[in-house]
Formats: sequence, C-alpha cells, structure tokens
Amino acid sequence: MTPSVENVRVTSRNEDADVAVRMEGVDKWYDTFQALKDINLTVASGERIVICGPSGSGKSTLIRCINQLEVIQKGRIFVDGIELSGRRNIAEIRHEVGMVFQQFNLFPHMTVLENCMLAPMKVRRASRAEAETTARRYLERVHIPEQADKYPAQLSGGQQQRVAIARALCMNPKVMLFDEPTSALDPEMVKEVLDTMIDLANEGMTMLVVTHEMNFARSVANRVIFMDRGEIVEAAPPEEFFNNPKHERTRAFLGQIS
Amino acid sequence: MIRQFGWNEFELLVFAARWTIVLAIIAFVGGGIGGLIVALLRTADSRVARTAMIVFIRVFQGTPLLMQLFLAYFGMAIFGFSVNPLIAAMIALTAHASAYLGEIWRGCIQAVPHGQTEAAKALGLHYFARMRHVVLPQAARIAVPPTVGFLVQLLKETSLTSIIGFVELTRQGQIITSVTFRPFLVFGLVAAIYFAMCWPLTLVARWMERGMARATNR
Amino acid sequence: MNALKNALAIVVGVGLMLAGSLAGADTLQDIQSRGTIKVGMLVDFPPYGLMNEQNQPDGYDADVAKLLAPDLGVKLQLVPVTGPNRIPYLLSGQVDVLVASLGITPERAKSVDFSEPYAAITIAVYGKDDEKITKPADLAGKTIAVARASTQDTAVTKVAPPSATIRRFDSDAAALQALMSGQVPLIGCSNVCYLTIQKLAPGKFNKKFELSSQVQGIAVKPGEQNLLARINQFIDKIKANGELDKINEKWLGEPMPAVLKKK
Repeated sequence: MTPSVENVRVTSRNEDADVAVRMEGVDKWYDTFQALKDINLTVASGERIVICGPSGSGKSTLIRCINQLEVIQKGRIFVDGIELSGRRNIAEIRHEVGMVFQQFNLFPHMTVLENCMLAPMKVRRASRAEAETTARRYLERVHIPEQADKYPAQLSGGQQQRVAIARALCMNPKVMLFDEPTSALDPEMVKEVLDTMIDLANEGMTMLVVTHEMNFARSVANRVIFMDRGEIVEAAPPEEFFNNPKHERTRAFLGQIS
Repeated sequence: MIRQFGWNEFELLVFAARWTIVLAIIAFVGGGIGGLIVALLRTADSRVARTAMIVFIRVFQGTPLLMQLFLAYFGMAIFGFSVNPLIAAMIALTAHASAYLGEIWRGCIQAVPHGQTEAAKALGLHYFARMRHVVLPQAARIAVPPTVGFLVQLLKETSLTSIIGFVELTRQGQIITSVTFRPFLVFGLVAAIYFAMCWPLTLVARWMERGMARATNR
Repeated sequence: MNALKNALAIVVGVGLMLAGSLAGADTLQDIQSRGTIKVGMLVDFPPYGLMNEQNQPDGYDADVAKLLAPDLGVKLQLVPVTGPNRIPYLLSGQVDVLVASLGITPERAKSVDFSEPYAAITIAVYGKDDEKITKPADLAGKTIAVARASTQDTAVTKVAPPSATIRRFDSDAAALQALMSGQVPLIGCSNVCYLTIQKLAPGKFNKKFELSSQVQGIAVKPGEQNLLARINQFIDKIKANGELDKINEKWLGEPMPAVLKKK
C-alpha cells in the first residue's frame, strides 16, 4: 500500500498534509442492517481510489460518510486532519469535499452558470463577479462553456454530469467523491465524463470513485478497493488487484464483471 | 317594513364585501407565514418539531373553523380575556390557514427529489440557503394550484366570522334578504361579488404557473 | 349546528366552573358604573329585529331596548347577534342582556334567566272580513289553509271540528297565496305572517281567534337577580303606561296581545 503521489499536491494547512481522508473502525447501521463493518482506510492527498463491489456492498455508503450525508454509529473519520464531529463542523468539512452523484442532481430551476455560482456565493461569500469568473473557468475545464446559460433539462446526460463536476469544483474542494458517476448515462456519453475525471486526476485531485468502469480503475487508480457485505475485502494497486487478486470473493466478482 | 331592493341595499352589500376582503387578507398573510413555518418544521430533522406540528395540524384540520372562531372569541372571554373580534378572527383564521397551507406545502417540499437536498448539502449550503435557493423554489411551482384552490375556499369561508359578529358579505346578504324578501336577487348578487373576488386569484395563479414553467422548461 | 351545541356546552360548562368568581360580579352595577348597557339583538328577524335603510339596528326589540337604557339611566349600545350565537354572546359577557326575540322555553331556561315576557308571536286564525268566526266550533264546514307540519298545522288540527277541511301547503307563503287568490277563505298563521297579508291586501282580512302563542323574554346571565328584578320592573312599567302597546302597533299593527297582559 504505497500511494504514489506523482502530481501537484494540494497544499494543506495541516502538517499531516499527506493524509486527505482517514477512517478508523467505522461502523454504520440502518436499523438492524449493518451497512459498514469496521472500515479502516487512509487516503493520501492526491491519491485516486476506485471502490468497486456488488450492489449493496456498502461502497456508496462509505463515501457518503465522508461528507456526512450518512451518520456513522462507531469509529472516527478525519478529513484533511479535522475529525468529523456531527453537526458542529459539518459545514466546514463539506466545503472541502465535493461530490458527484449518479443522478447528477443539478438544480433544475437554475441555469448551468447559476448552478455553479450558488454555493461559492452562499457558502464562500464570494461576490457575484468572482463566482461567475470561477464558474466560467470550470465550465471551460469540463469543455462546456457555451452551455452556461442553458437549463439542465436542455443538456444531454453527459453534459449534465460534467456540469455537476464543474459545480463541485467551483467550491475548490480538496477531495472529490464520485458516486457511480457514469451509471445513469447512455453508453456513448460515458467517455466524455470519464475523460473529464481523468483530466482531474492528472491535475492531482484526491478522488474516491465508486464505479464499475474497470478500465478507468486500471488506468487512473492508485488503489482499487473491493467491498462486499459492508467490509473492505481487498485493497491493492490496480495491476495487482486485477492480475493477482488475493481473495476468493474478489476473484468471483472480477469473473462476473469481465 | 318590507323594503324594496335598491341602490342603497346594493351599496351595503359592496361595503360588506370590504370586510370579506380584510378578513381574507388577514387569513392569507397569517396563513402564509404560519403555513411556511409549519411546513418547514413538519419536514425538519427534529422529531420534537415534527411531532408538535403533526399535533397542531391534526387539531386545526380536525375541528371546524366555526368552532375555532367561536372558542377564540367566546372561549377567551369566559376566561376573562375580553378579545376584540378582529383579534379573535386573526388568531382563528391564521391557525386554520396555517394548518392547511402547512400540510399542502409539506407535501410540495417532500415532492422535491431528495437528491436535490443531498446535492445542496454536499455543496456545503446550510439549512436556510438550501431551503431558500434549492428546495422552496422547486416546491413553489407545484404548490401554486393547491394553494390558490385553498385560498379561494378560505375567502368564502370568511363568512363563518359572522358567528363572532362580523357583518361580511354573506351575513349582510342574509340581513338584507330578511327585509326585502328577495333571496334570489340578493344571494345572486352575493355570489357574483364572491366570484368577482375569487376570479382574479385564479388569474394570478395561472399567470404565476406560466411564469414558473417558463423558468424551468426553457 | 350540532358542533355549535357542543361548543355551547363547553362554554356553559366552563361558565359554571367559573360561577364562583362570577357570583361576586353584579352586572347591574357594572352597567351603571360603565354608563352603557350592551344589548344583543337580532337583525335578521323582522319586524322584531332588522337593519333599517340607514343600516342601523331597528325593529320591535330595538324600540324596547331604546326604552330600557334611559330607564336605567345609561346609554344604549346595540350589538347585532345571530340566532346561533346570541346565548354565547350573553354567557361570555360580550353583551349584558339579550332583547333578541328569545322564546321562553324550559330548555333555554337552563342556560339563561328570563324576564317576564315582553313580546309574543301569536298563532291565530285569520280570514276574510265577512267570515263570522270567533271560536274553533265556527270552523265547521269551512276550509282553512296552513303550512304543513308547522305549529299552526298542529294547533288548527287539534281544535278544528271534523267537518272542517284543512288544506295543507308546503309553506306559509303558499298558504298565503291560496288565501289571496280566494281559494280558501281562512288561514292559520302567525302575526308576523299576517303583517304580510295586510301589506298585500290592506283591510280585507282580520283576526278571528288566537290558537297559541310563544312568548319572548329579555335574557340575562344566570344568577343576575338584581338586574333581572330591575328589568321586570321596567317591563311592568311599559306594559302599564302604554308604551309597549305603541311598539306593538308600530311593528305588528295590533295592540299588545292578551298573553302579555296576564301576570
């Protein structure tokens, strides 16, 4: 488990800057169903993690715990050196963590530009002009600057997901979470979204990506994590993970999806 | 003693309609503010707030407005609080409208997909910004038709305030009928005046719906 | 109106609970120290209570109230009430007394105290001037119109000899129409209804004999002995000095009915 941090690293105010996210002994329950069992995971700054596993294995739940969309019952989670402590620093953590959803979740009553400007203005207290400059810059980066004044419903799925990525980036997060970002897309649109994510990876963003796109995992991930029944079964660099999986359940899963 | 129905009587009806309008405005404004609070608390994370609002809604939806007016006025007087009928009407109409609008708007808030709230949370928007900029604008669009439907009904229900002494449109109609013996004429006019007050509301509703549809479906 | 009755029951119940604290209060003193009496009256029950052309409360009850206030040496404040809310208005203290055509019934006497009767609605047989009828037996062989299932129907049916024909109509208005058009020579109806008859055909019909009457009293909160005594004194006075007769003539077109005279 040697994270190779080869690109530009986002500077952190903490001396423990190498660690972006740390989870220690995390348990998560939905009533009587245990969704996460004793999760221990350390993600270095700039590291790209791909999480895979069968449905219901807890992979989405795991990343949703990081920005507190889910509340954990046991264990500790640190983001950028700050421990999540319920309500008190919830906003602080969310400033640093961007998230992209399977269903895009763009705000349908706002234009693309407004989608991207809302959080910087309301959360970061940026001026309208600043927010707009930032928004246009990131729309440029996801290659859809010309769509800025359209409404989400006028865009294709792939374009919408790229807007969602730009919207998250406008908050200048330290960590990006992707929850099955290409699962709701038509096949011909998957590539444009993955390409955007690869660009982001190349710029050194710390990323946790829940996905079934194994080619993406192979080419981008520093580590691939396999989860099953709420547990991390195996975590290894992609070469090792795909060519020489240690665990029986990993082999079975890889056999099913390839 | 039997009087002809003339211009004087017509004027009395129109003047009485001013009370109907005043009472309706009180109910709309009070119910609008109260209803928003009820809807927000009803969809809040706090179980205590939700339960309190469920009780509030059950009580005020489960009892007739007539009783609420009655108790707000006569009930308080029994306990030695001599309330002005206008205050009593304000209390009862506001509570009644808050319970109904709160429940209508709760449904509209919950109809906004949960992913919208999650996306707003993930962006770090706090509760009020989330509601103000993300959830409520989307809820408002579906809220317009049922809200206006309720307001039209509420405007007509202000006639119940005659129980605490208001001579509004319906009551004035009854009084004039009793001396003119022209029920069809008088209540026909009363109905026409109500219609003239409700019709603009439905026009406004249609205009708002169109405006909001433009904003989202462009 | 069942719900209203329940609410009334609540109010009355709470009122009784607070009776202890109310016992100390004397409404007559309150009225005198305030200098104003608040009188509840109906405004949709002509000729007893109505709104006149100036949109002011008027009618038989208003005229009685206009005599009552100066008799007590205070100013008058008329408060329009309605049939369903008049007793709550009284019991909750929003008005001091009701001069509101409140018929004296045993059921109502449980929640309010009544004065001596000051008005009456009389059910009588009326007919064409040339009909020589003074008592029920004279109805033999005659045809008489009534509103079906009304108080007058019950009263006429009880006293009419078997040879009389009772024509039952759906309403007073329909019975009245039959009388006007000459289909029937006689009608059983109230004195209020008779006013309409006189309005439509002045001087053609007169009263033959009374069947029954519902007397009305001024109502006060239970236990207001001083106020009630004072009001009874007032009623005796206006009965004796002819003022109540004048009010009856003015609004009902006939002198004070006999039923008000007997003590």
